Amino acid sequence: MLDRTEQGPLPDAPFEAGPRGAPEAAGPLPVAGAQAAGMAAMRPAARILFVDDDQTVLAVSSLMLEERGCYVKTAWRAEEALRLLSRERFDIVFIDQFLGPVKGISLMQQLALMDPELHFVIVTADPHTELAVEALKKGASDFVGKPTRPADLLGSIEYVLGKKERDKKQRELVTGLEDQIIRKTEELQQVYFSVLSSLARAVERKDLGTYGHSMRVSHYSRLIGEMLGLGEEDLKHLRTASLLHDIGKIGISDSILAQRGPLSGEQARIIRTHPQEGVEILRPLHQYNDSLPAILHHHERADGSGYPHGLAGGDIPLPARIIAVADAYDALVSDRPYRPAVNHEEALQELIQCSGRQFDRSVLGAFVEAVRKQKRAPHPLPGEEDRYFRPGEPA
Amino acid sequence: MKTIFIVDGEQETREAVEACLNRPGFRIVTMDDGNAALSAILGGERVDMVIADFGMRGMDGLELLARLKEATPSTPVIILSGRVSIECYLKSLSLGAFEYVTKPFEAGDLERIVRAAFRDGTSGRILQRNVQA
Repeated sequence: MLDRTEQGPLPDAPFEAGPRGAPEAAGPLPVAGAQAAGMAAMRPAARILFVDDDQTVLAVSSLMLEERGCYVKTAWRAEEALRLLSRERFDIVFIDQFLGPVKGISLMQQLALMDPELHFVIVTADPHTELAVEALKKGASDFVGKPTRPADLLGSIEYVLGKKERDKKQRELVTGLEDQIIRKTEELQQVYFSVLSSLARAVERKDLGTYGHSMRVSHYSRLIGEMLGLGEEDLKHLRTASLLHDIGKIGISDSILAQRGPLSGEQARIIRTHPQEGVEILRPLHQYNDSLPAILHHHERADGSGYPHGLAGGDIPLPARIIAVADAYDALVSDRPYRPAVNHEEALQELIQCSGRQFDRSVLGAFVEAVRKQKRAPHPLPGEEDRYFRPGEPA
Repeated sequence: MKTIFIVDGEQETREAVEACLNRPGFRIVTMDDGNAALSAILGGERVDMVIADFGMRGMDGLELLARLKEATPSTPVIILSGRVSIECYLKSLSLGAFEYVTKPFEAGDLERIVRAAFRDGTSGRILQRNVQA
């Protein structure tokens, strides 16, 4: 804020420092010098631009306002006003409605485009209600009649500065509320997601050897999704689906999940219900609806021999095809009760052998290309998933 | 009638592939090296699909694939490979192969892949980026 007591009188020449040059905007300013002593509390101080084609009016008004501590510039034509405004910043522009060829109100609309925070007062020798209404409708903050008395001008300035302050406070309030809503929504989503992540981990505790599986699958899925050029929204649904793809196993008995030997026909049938069970668990949570197809179909196979619906090729939703590859890779490189882990390269080779049979060729191609140079596809460690799976934020 | 070129240096494989695809609607032409296949195609012979072995002597499957994609980009090409190679797989895809099939394969699998290639084999390359060996 400008403190004129310390800086002395403001220069008369327009500032050349560039648009919106050096002098800082004035709020209701403390007014300098001896004049301030008597009437400081009452008197508004502001940066004023006065536009009128009558030089006498300009001279008188500017003298009067300067005496009362305002910084004043005058323009007697529209072009001059535009030029001044492109060089320095003002709080209030007084515009005569009858400016020769240009109407004050249209000049006001033009100037408003240059600085949305500018306030305008329309001045007219012919003050009638229709004009006042039009001026206010089109964005003027106030309206005064001519000849202007000092009290009218000062009153108007005080009113406009007050309005400016109120507008600012209101804007701040609205912005603050918006921020709060966004923050609270994010917090809620985080809570939802944490609950579901815990559920996913609970499943992993039951399903021997799969600790950390869901978050690794989620991570690989994201790699593939990015390689395939999915948008942020699709990646978000993919993240949810991949983290929760096995959540339906929560209802499957521990003895089946932990079985070391081959499954009986009935046990296999029960295991195969988990995609559908997962969908049923998540269905009431509407924000996850877009992730359900990926969960339902993550055990479909490209050749149509998968479950639950036996979909083939492009009929399988893309996120489901992505999770299928990520899921199979992680299963191969992890020890399971029924077989030991294989290394990264062997896992990729096994996946490639199933290209076009079990896996979608473009999804598998993207995954292999993304991870082929690594010793193992990168993934977060157990317990680090919160760093990776913050909803609404890229992992 | 769809004409399918089977290009493989081993007679055994040619016969196995032919047996898998000996179906109504398919006309099979077998050849034992890439040069023969390429000159036939450049000479104007009609072909709807090429199934080529990766490891042939002379012009191998990848070179044939590259030349075919210049000459007749919309013809789907399936690469057969005796051993699984990650680099060869990625190269095949980046050169525009429809699929990379490892031997041995099941008859039904190969037929399904061939039919899929006829259905959507012209949809372009899978891997856009150049894969280096």
